[in-house]
Amino acid sequence: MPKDRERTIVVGPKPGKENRRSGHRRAKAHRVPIKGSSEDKLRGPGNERIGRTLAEVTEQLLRRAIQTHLATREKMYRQVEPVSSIKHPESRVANKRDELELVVADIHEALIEISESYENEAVMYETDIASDRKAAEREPEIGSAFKSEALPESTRLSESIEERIEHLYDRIIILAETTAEDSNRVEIDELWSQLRSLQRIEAEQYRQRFEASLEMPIDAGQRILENARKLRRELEDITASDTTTSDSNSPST
Amino acid sequence: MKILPPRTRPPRIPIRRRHEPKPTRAWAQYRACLRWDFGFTCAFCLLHEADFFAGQTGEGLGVTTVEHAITRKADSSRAGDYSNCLYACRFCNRSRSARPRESNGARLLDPTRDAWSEHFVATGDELRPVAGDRDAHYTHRSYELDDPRKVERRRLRRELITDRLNLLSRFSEEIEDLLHLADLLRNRDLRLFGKVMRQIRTLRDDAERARRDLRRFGALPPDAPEKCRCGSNRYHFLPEAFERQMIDLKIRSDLSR
Repeated sequence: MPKDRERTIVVGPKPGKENRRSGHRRAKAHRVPIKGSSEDKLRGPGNERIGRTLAEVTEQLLRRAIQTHLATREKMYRQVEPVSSIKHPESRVANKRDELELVVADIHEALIEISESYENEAVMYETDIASDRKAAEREPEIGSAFKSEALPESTRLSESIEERIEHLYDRIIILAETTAEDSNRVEIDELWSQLRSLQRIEAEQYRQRFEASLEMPIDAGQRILENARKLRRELEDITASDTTTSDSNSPST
Repeated sequence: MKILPPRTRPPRIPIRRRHEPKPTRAWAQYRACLRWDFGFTCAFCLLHEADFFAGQTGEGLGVTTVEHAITRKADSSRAGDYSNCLYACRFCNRSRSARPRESNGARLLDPTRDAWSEHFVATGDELRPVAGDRDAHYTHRSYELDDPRKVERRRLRRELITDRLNLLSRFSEEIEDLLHLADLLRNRDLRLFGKVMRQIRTLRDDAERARRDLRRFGALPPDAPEKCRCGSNRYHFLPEAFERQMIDLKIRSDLSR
């Protein structure tokens, strides 16, 4: 067994990577360093997800060991037990020891097998991490981090339009940078007008979401003020007429 | 509470950097310092974070970015240089992409060196370059300062803030008058008095809703960073270029009566 395998164990998807939004990448396995006692080795770093995965692996191993054990027992029972072993109980013990050794060997083999299957996953995961890092270095913020769905409803950008705008930018830049001639100018102009119209659509969608998110219509303030003034005028009229009436009804001195 | 003006005027002075973060190649770590240094405002199109997030937290969503004056493509060694980093909205950053700082004798203007008001004029909801100013034109074109998405956001902010401020500034006076008139009615027609009081109450509720709409445009976002790479909060206030434009939204006690 290679040295690094003694030091690390490869378990299931990295915590937090189980539900990748993009969905184009499988949840990859990752390495977990194992230190300390054998119990610690089984438990690994205190992590619920890792614990669960280890529990699954252990269960798998035990199941396989039991199957092997039962198969061996069956095999042994099928064989005619030599008389000598009946007569000599120490040979029974020896048989039992062999049996247990078989189980241990089987567990060991299963461990290697499982570890190797995860090894490939781990390599793929590490490759992904490396490519992610490179991508982050190229476009740390623009390229990947824009998660418009996390924005409040009112300010959310339309993702499909946003993606199309991004795509158009890319195409325009490529065309503009790779050609020195005017041969692509027509195409660039066309793409530019598409870009502008998409930007207008996005702006319109934003306006609708913005207005829908307001407590009241965008021009409501003016109407409220007008209502207040109207009410005031009505009250002024009522109080004025009341005053006139009460004045005319008051006894003359 | 201070809120944004209906329209951010181009600053009369260049934006002065106050923060001095420890150098790092991971320029994203400058974000907190940049946000304070640039007043949570895109240095180019002057859209504020509130124009994107409407008073919600938006940090980490990639809508605002670190823009490199000297692009990483042109000189990758300057990528982690704080003096080369600017705070820009995603629209501006994407529009410029890797355009060079100079092209055909025109250069991109730098908001930390050039006073925007000398090169741009706020006309309606647009930010037009001064006629004959080649640098301003090149900057305007490179960053698409009047991209329809930006113009629309400016318009919505202007209309909303103007409307709500207009309401709130005159409303208390109107309410006072109405209460006075209602008081005159109290001893004469109790039923009418009750009806009037109900209407006054509805108006007061409307005023409260107007205030809530205005709070979306707070000058400081709810997630304004308390810590930054400088390790000091000495300069955790808006830059002078923007501070003087902000409106102090005094919540009048007579409105909440």
